[in-house]
Amino acid sequence: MATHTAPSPPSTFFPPVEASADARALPLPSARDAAALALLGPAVFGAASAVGHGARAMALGGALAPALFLGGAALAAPTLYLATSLGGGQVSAEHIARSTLSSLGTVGTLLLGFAIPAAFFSVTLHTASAPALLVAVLVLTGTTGVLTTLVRTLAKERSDSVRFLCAGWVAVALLLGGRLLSTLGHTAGLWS
Amino acid sequence: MAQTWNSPAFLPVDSDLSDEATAAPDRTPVSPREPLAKPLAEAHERTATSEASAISSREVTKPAPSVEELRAPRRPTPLVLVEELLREPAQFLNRLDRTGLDKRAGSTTPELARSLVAVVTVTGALFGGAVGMFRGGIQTAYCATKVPLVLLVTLAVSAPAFLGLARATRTDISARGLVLLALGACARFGLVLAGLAPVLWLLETSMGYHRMIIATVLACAIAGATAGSLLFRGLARARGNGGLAGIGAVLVFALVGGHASWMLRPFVVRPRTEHVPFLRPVESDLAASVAQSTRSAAEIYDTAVQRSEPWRAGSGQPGSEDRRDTQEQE
Repeated sequence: MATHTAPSPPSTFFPPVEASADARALPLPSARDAAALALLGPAVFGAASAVGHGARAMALGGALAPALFLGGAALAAPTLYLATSLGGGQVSAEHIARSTLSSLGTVGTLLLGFAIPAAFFSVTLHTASAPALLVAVLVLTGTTGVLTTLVRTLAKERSDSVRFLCAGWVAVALLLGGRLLSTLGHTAGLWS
Repeated sequence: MAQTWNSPAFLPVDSDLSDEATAAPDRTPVSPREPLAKPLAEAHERTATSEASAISSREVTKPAPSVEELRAPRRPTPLVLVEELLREPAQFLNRLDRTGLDKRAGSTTPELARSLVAVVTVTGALFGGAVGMFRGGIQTAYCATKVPLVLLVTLAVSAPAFLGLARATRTDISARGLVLLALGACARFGLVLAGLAPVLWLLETSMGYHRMIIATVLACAIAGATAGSLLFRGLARARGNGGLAGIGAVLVFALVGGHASWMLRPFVVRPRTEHVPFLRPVESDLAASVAQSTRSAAEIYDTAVQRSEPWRAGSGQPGSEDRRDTQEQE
């Protein structure tokens, strides 16, 4: 027997996502474009950020950066679905997958733009500030991706409980990303 | 018949105008000397007819300017841009709206870009010259060359990041408009630096080496704030999340600009230094150097430096000043 869930009352704690501001922005890229950007952006950024350290480092960077962002998304997306389900939200798994993919596309676009400055810093900066700067950029970009996923997932969600759980999910996603960054950094010898 | 917005019923009737039009023939000057009145009226009529035909022939050969054309900004010469960038940044942004921000490529785009590059080069050279005069001689020429280079290299390296930020935040701005906006911000940066150059030159006589570095960094920070505000305002005008893109762009510009200036150092050199290199080898970074200069300006010296390099703390050894000079060119 199908059960009908009563629609949640409008949230009073979290203001609804401004649809008007979103509607005035450029349209989101298609799923295919977002997937291409999600792969290409981190790969180009990873390779560019190792330009000053030889071909092997470039290849490693080009492989590890997509692994970081795609892996982070793959690890965090199920938790987001769990959070929305437990909170009684109406967001489907497909919607979460689509928001995650479009957020990865956004992150890929950002990283593609940052490739030239990354190459510039890679060639000219060889102090302890260099890995710190790289990690700062990765953390900021990852945080942008997490928040973008959250906003796009919750665009049509009005339930307070779901929003509270998703706020908790942000912390979990960031910790997961940090753990992955640490592991991949050890693999690449970034910390040595 | 359905009435439209421009049908006679909706058009306002200007009673004064219509009265004037109907009354015009009656207002022929009436002279007490009646015999002259008629030839004068005919002469008036002939003149009016010839003027009307001249106007109509001009209208045939050249169409009347549209409202858009009448409101069009002046040609983007460097002097016009100086005024707009400093006094009327909104006017400059309106100009960009016409040439690039709204994706309509204007015919003045190359001229605008050339003028902006000219402003950046000249103003950067002026500031560089003022900074170089702390040591004087060849360093003045070196600095006058390197400051415009710093600005242009920063722009070239940052532009792709700006575009990435704009696209990621879904800001509706063309690549051309974005580059022009960034160039405009660079030009404003240079203009503020050029304005502060005489102040810096004035203070050079009373400031030591480390305080001179701090003053130069402060001048750059002030100029950076004004340039950042233009960049931010320009991006915030575009549809989408331009404010977010603006914050990111300002951060990237500051980071890349700071590092580019570090790469092209020395700018401030002690007056007693004999040989000044055009560029120094890559070592350390800007953040560490500014921190060290701040400590030194406050007369706090690193003990590790004193132990390992006693001449840096002024040990009084022969030639110690020279060695210290060559090591401390920032």
